[in-house]
This record gives sequence, C-alpha cells and structure tokens, in this order.
Amino acid sequence: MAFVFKRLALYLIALVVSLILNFLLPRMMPGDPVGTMFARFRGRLSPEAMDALQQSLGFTGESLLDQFWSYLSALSSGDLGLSVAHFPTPVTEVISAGLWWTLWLAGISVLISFTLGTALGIFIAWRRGGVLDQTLPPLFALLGAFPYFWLAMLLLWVFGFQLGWFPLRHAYGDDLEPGWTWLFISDMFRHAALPALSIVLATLGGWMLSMRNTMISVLGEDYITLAQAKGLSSRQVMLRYAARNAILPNLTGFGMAIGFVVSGSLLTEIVFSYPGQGYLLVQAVRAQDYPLMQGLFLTITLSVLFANWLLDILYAVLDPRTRRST
Amino acid sequence: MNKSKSALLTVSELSVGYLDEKECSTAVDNVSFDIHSGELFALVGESGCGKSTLIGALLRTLRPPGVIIGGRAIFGEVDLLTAEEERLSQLRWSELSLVPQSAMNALNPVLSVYQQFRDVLRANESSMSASTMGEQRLITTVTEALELVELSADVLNLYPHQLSGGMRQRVAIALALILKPDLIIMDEPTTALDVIVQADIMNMVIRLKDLFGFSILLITHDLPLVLSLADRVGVMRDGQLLTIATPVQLLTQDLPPYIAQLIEVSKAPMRSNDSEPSISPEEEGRLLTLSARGLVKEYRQGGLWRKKRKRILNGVNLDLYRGETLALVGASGSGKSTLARLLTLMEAPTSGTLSLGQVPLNAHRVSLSFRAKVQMVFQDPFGALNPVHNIAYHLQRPLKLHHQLSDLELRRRALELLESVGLSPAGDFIDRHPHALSGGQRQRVCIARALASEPEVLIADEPTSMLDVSLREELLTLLRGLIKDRNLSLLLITHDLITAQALADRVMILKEGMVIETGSVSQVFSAPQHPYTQQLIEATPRPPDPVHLSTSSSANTSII
Repeated sequence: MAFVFKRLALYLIALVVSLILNFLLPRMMPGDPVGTMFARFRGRLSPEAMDALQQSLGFTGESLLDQFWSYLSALSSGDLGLSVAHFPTPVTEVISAGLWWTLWLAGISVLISFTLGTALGIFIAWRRGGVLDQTLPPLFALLGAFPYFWLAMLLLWVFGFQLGWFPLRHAYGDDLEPGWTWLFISDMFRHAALPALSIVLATLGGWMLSMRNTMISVLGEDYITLAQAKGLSSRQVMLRYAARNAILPNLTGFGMAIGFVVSGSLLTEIVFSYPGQGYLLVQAVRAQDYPLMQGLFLTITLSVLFANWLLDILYAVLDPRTRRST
Repeated sequence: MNKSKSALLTVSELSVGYLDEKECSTAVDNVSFDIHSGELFALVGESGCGKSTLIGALLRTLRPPGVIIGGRAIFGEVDLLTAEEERLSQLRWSELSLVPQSAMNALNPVLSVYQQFRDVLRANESSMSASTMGEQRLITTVTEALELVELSADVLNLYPHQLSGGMRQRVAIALALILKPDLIIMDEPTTALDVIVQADIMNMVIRLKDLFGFSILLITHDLPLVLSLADRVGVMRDGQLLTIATPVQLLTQDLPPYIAQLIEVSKAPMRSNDSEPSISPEEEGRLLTLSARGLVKEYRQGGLWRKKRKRILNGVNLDLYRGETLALVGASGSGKSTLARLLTLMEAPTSGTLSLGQVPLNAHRVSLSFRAKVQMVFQDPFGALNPVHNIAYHLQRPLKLHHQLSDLELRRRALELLESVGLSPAGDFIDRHPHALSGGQRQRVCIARALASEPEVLIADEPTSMLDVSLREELLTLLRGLIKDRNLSLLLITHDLITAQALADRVMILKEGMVIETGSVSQVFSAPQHPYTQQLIEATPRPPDPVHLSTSSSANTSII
C-alpha cells in the first residue's frame, strides 16, 4: 500500500509541473497571441464576451503569481473558463462532451489492439518458425508503416463509400436520440467500427512484435526448461511461466501508448468527423480558442498521468521485484 | 522407490545435433552410459563439450534447431527419446527431475516460492496416491521438503529475488525432491556459488541421496569436486564420451593424455619453494611498489530522497613489493574488483591513501607515467578486446602512447610482445582480429597489451576464470615466466585458492571489504589462522589422494 502512495506522490509532482506549463505556455507565446485574438474579435463579440474572455484567460493585469493563483483556484472549482468558439459555453462542458467519445473510441481500439497483439505475439513466439510466425510480422509491419489517417481514409473509402457497409461520419446517427437504448448502442458500435479498425490495424503489429521478441528471450530462460521438465501442461508453461514474465515490458509500452493514441486518434477523428477530443482540438486551433486548447491539453495530460499511475499499480501486482524499490 | 540393482537409466548410442540451413552439426556423438539406482554418476567436460545438449535430449526439452539424431535412453521401460508426450509428462518430475544450471534463473521471478511448488504438485496430482490435496496438506508437504534442504517455512511466501544464491539453489533442490523421484539430473548445480556454499550444498545433496536412495546424474566442469563425490565419472570432449571410470581408476590408471592433463591441472601444484623457510618481503629488503593505507570505498544507493551508503571496502591496507606475486582471494562480493579499480586509479577511494614507490597518488589527477607503470589484465578476454580492431592495433596503441616510436619500430615491438606471450610465429597473429583467436589466445594478447608499456605492476582480475581448465595451467606458467624475466609485481585477484597457491608468494584473504588474513602461501595454506580461511580451504574441492581413497588403512595423510 505504501508503494501506491509513493507512486501517487511522484505523479502529483508531475501534475504540478504540467499545470505550471499549461499556465505559462500561452503567456510565453511570441507576438502576444491574445492581443491579435482580441483584435480579430473586436466588433464581432459583445463587450461582455470580451471581458469574459479576458477573465477566463487570466489576463487581468495582475502579477504572474497572482494570475497563477487565480488560475489554480478557478481550476479547483472545475472552472476552465468560457470557450470562445462556442461562446458562452464553459470549456468544461465542451470538453466533457468530446471526452467520452474519445475515451470510447481510443479505449476500445487500444484495448483490442493491445490484447489481440499481445495474444498473437505469445502464440507466434510459442510456435516459433510456424506459418503464422512467418506471415504475420511482415504483414503488420507493412500496415504499421502507413500513417493512421491514411489507413483511415482507405477504410472510409472502401467500406464506407464504395461498399456502404458503415456510416461515413459522426459518432451516432443524426436521427437518433442519445440514450441507453439498444438501437443507440448498436449504432455507436457501427460508427466506431471503421475508426477503431484503422487504429487497431496501425498499432497491432507493434504490440505483436515486441511481445514476440520478449517472449522468445524469456523462453530461453532456465525456469522455462524447468517448468517443462516439471511436467506442467504446455498451456501453463506458455501463459503462467513465459507470458507472465514477457508481458511486463509490453505493459510499460502500453502506458506510454495511451498518450500517443489520444493525440494520434486526432487525425482519425477528423477523417471520420468523430466528435472527440481530437476533433475539438482542431476546431479550437482553427478558431484560436485558447481557453478550449488549454483545457484540452490539461485533460490529455491528466488522462495520460492517470493511466500511467494505474499501470504502475498493475505492474507492482504482476512483478514482485518492483514492489520494494523506489 | 526400491528398484532392482539393474540399471535405472540406460543411454545407448545417443546422438544429438543442431540443424543448420543445409547441414546438421553433431553436438553429442554416439554416447552410451548407464546409471544404477542409488548411484551418483558424473559427466565432466569443458564448455561446449555437449553436456547440456545431452540433458536437453534426455528431458526432451531440446529446442529447435536441436534434434535427436538417434539412439535410445531406456528409463524403466520407457524410451525417453521416443515416448509420447503424454507418457513423458507422467514420468516428468515424479520419477525424473532436474536441478538446472544456474540457481539464479531456475525460478520464475514473478511467482512466490510456494506457488512454484504448488504448480508442480497440482500438475502431478494424478500420479500421486491422494487425488486432490487440500491447501493445508500442500503447505505441509512443501514445508517438509524445505526442511530437508535446511530452509525454514518463512521462505514460502518470498519471491526469488528476495533469496540469496545459495537459498535459491536449495529451493531448486527441494523442488526436485518433492515428488521423490528415482533420478535427479543436476546441471552444474553449484557453478554460480561460492566455494563454501558449494561445499554445504553438495554435502547436503549426498546426505539426501543416501537418505532417499535416488540416483544423480551430475553434470559439471569441476573435476576435483566430482573426484571426491561421484561413484563413477564419464569424461566428455567434443560430444564424445571418452571414458567411464571410478575416481580411483581416474587417479591411478594410465589414461589418455587429455584426461590425465585435466586431472593434473586440478591437483594443487607442487612448488619448489614450499619447503623454503618463509621470509617476509620486508625482511628480504625488497622495494615497495604499490601500497595502500586504510582504503575505504562507499557507494550511494537509493532514490531521490533517501540515500543509503553501502560500504564495499572497509579500511584495506596493502603492500606490493617488487618482483612478488600477491594473491588477493575472496568470495564474490568481497570487494576484490572494487579494490582493483581503486589501485588502478580508475575510481577514487572514499578515504585512504595510495602510493607508488614514494609518490603519493591522486585518482583525480592521474599521470601518464602511472598508467605506464600499472597495467591491468581483465577477467573476460572476449570483452577486453574491441572486436573492430586487429591485434596489431591493440598492441601498438599503448606503444604509441607511452613510447615515441616509428611505424616500423612499432610493428617490430608488437611482434616481440606476441612472441613473449607464446603466440609464435607472431606474424601469423598480428593482423588477425580478436574473433579469429581462441579464448586462451585472446587472454595472451591481453597480457601482451598490458606488457607493452613496460609496467612495474600488473593487476590481473581472475585472468583464468573464463578459460577452460586445460588452458589455465599454460597461462599460469606463462605468467610465472613473465614475472621472473621482467621482475614484475603481480596482484592476482581470484576466488580460486588453487590458482592462488600455484602462482603467488603471498596471499591476502578478503572478506566483506576487510583483509582478514595475510601471509606467505605456505603459512596461510598450512596453518590458516582465521576461521573463514580455514573454512575456505576446507571447502575447496581437490582430488582426493588415491591411496587414501582405495585403502583407508593407509596413514598417508595429505597436507595441503
């Protein structure tokens, strides 16, 4: 238990650093982006909106430290300011609408990619030199070489446009009312299928190859020979003795991949006009919506930190050697 | 358990090979032997002789590209080489178990000791009388097995990384014993362990063998160990079984030169000056070269906030005189290599002083002349030579640095150096790259390189431990000659008392960073003062005196 809290302390430090960066970045940008933004909106926004914008960005003429303090206190009450593009909707509201779609899309695609890739890696390493071992790695290496969005466009064109099997855009049909109905949930799956598939195809090979390679080196260890000589079943040797050890480096990669997926799914979301974080981010950049951008960066950082913390705990459960140290 | 006196395992004409792209190289060639019940049969051979491949074939754990080419291995009524997987899994562990090579990797690092035992018991439940054991009975069974190897029940819930090397090896042995098999294969069971731990464990194994009556197939490269323990010994070389004999036969009979040589090397060599009254170097009035006073070295460990200091050396004094060989003996982790790093000024001591001749030394400002005078020979000849350069480069580099010589002169000196370490004709070797040399030849190149700057002091860190036994004697003879011819001082770092005894004038015993005993070789070996030294000498395996072995009536006692 002490281990969990120790790790938590480390992550809190990381969190503080990311908060400071998030606060400082717009203030460090050259050419006073805020001024140009105000100039652009002058006349188009009502004076109250301009005032709110200035307030929300914290440009109130106070000292930097005071600004930071008010930024923090606003943050602690869940106030990220008002979005400019969606004025006067609060940033938190805009983000939370997109967040769930990203979590849903990136979540299932990363999970599928990781589990399937790892399982395939275990299997082809166990049957080293077999037909699958000879064919799958080059195939997925090829697929992984394409950028996410290119695969996404290809899939969209073939399965969405030409064959018409899947919808072309959005997270659910325009004519549906969101709710926990069978119709809506099945529609969610239909809409997520193509974007998720493009992410899975692009990333699965990496998981498979790294799992296969570690697995092969673990299979050379003495305890594997011993496990076989002990008369354990092949299944037990493969999973409990070999894969259990070989999966540890892959888990580290999983934690880091979460960050990449959130940003990587950005282009996928654009191709499929999927209303997630990535889509919002692009809108925010186009509209120079700084409060929204700041909020999005913060949620991405937070989600990566949180996922890594969870993985650290999982790691400690799986690998007794990490429990004592640090 | 009680089988007839006939052979328990009969291996006949076993051949195992490794498939290459086109051909099949033979690793085990037509090997036949048998093991009787209750017998300790040892297979001895140097690295690469096919011992481990043989085990892989017998246990059928050989991995591709290894293939069994032919032969039979009858165990009970089953041929291990052709038996169905199902029949094999019934035999595995309940009748035939394994203690694998290195204690460090024998246990699954992510499972607790108890879980590893439970896996075995659960997997072999069908072959045991009790249908399904309750958890409580499992724990009792495992605790009993651990008691046999002198471990308490506390280790049940520990993970492998929390155990010492010796404890892990005990766990591995307990694991091999748990189903009371008829035959236990032990593959170099004590190689990674210190001599004292090794002696404890081997004695325990023999005691358990006598208690339960199982047979042991012991695979090792350690001939002295085998000669004192085994019932019969098979000597392997290049995949072939050269001979099978009892230890007494091996020690007394005329044998093929290779085996005779192996046995000769493993005996403590007789030295001409053993009988001389030992004079301490100070009395002889020799010159002091390298000397150290109160050396302390600490390393910092731990994370960002809490730092722990770990003391590796704890006040070491050392004096090396001109022309003498001083052996520094200690178990792994005693601080030998750290001391070598301090003496060569590669690291600065936490406290203490060093001097060469009368000149005080400072590890932060090392002069070129110090580097010329103190040279080092490393343990691993495979890692000590950069593989991208040829031998000429390796030898000319120090020559260029320390002596201003013309290109022609450089090559001449390099050739001379090669000749002086017995690589003759030197012209054949000088343009080769390290990968084209054998381990022994590489170590000779390393010695030649160390001699290039014409040093006064040579520090050799386990120079022979990576080499096969048959090469060790040659290399030690070479070192002995060089020391004499060049009036060198040698600090020989070793864990091997036999090597120390063969080469050194004086011995220093290091334990946990402290020198616990110093003296001339004859003093320390004939009358060790410190209990640890006594233990160390006792634990070192030596071939027993054949007279003593065959006739116990003889009063001929061998004093080491």
